Amino acid sequence: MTSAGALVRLITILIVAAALPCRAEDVISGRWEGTAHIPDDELTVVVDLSQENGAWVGSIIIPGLGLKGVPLTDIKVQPPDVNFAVKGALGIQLKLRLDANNKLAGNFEQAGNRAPASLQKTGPPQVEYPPRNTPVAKELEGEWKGDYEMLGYTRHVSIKFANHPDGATADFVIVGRKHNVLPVDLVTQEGEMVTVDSHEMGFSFESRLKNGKLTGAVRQAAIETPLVLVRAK
Amino acid sequence: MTKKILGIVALLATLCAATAIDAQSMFRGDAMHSGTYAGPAPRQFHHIKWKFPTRDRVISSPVFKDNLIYFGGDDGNVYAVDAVTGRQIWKRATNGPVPATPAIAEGTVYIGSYDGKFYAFNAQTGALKWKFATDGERRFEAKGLHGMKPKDQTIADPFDIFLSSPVVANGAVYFGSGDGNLYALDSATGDLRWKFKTGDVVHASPALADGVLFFGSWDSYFYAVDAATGKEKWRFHGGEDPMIHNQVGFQSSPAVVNGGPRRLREGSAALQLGLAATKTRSRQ
Repeated sequence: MTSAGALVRLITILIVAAALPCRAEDVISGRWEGTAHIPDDELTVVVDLSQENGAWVGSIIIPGLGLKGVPLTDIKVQPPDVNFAVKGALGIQLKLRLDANNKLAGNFEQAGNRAPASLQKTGPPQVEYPPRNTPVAKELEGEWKGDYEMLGYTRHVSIKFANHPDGATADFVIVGRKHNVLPVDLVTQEGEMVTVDSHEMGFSFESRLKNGKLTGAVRQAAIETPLVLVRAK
Repeated sequence: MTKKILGIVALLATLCAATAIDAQSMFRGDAMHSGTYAGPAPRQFHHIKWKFPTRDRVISSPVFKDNLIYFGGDDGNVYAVDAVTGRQIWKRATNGPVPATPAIAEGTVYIGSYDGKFYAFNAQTGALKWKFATDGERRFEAKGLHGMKPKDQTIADPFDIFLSSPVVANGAVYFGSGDGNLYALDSATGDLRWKFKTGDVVHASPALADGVLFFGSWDSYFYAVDAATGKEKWRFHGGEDPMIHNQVGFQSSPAVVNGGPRRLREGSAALQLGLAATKTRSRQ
């Protein structure tokens, strides 16, 4: 064999070797629809899996459990095995394997229970992403203060907005009988509408920035109370 | 589960129809609820082109505009879906079911939710433009409703499943509310122009013709209200049913045809207003 021939052969092997894992991952990337056979019922399951910058991302829809576009966590794709968990308190995990018929088959697991699950690819991925922090207007940066009443006594609210390269953050403090620092996970401004959410505490402040005031309401579960914030002096 | 599947199937059927209709941008196609649409109607349903899963049943009717389909879900979300591919373009969460049909005008989606709020979203991006708080949503309720026991206890009507679908015209958006009001808001800012108080829940969708809004309330009156001022022009008293409250109120929505409002009744010809003044269990 000439040296040129060996080089061509080596390049061919390298290309094929590189292409193999890509092809398997291409197969996994997509929308997968099927069912989990729980006792006396079938759960419709829709999974979206995609690769972004070399990392797997995904979301899941299970109408029977009230889930729509919930992010996947702990995604491990090592073809033919595909394992992931569903973010949140339900503790759902899917442990699947790509079979000879190009179906993902395996187990739907929750709280130590297992149910057989089978999913078929139906199209390209439609991964849903949770809302992300947006930047806030320059005039919103800094501290805002106000009071609201609930259950007969006054609570003092302070929100400090700050902009960062990946969106704004907010320090949300409520002082009533206790000093509460709320863990804020979402800050958005859309035109005049400004929202600060603490999903962990089930607490949010939605408001409208107008005439130098943030006029809106705080909401906790089904209880909503008006709140107006003005810039702290 | 069956209910949800039925909801999805019903949505699919309507979506197929909607994709062939370019003019529909609010409930029943226009402000008069004529049910007339520009363009050819589909002659035959061939197959399911795509399906779109939600978390719960879909009561809202889809509205088609600029190749997108908009609808509310009882899962609390408002959706925009690509009419060709079935891909979700955006969704926005509210804090209650959304069994109303949106209206699209000037690049804005208008729709109310059972959380008692009325929303305006950017039609392309889903960004919230404004939000208006009513005095709250609720179902029609009465003591001993439909003969249910205990007779001395107020029971919410399980058949009162719709919310009022808005109508948009002349820079205003009009809709009814469970707080008993018909609202007129500035469609650009969400500021209140006026509100008209009735005696009970307004879940029917107002029809607008010649500057007059027509709508019924669960207080058993059918109203005609000046759209510019919110002043009452006339009212019509329907049936009363003090025993079991079954044959009371106006749940269905009017259409204005040939200069006069007619009540819509699914599966039958429109009934002249006044011939049947009692509540119909029909689709809004």
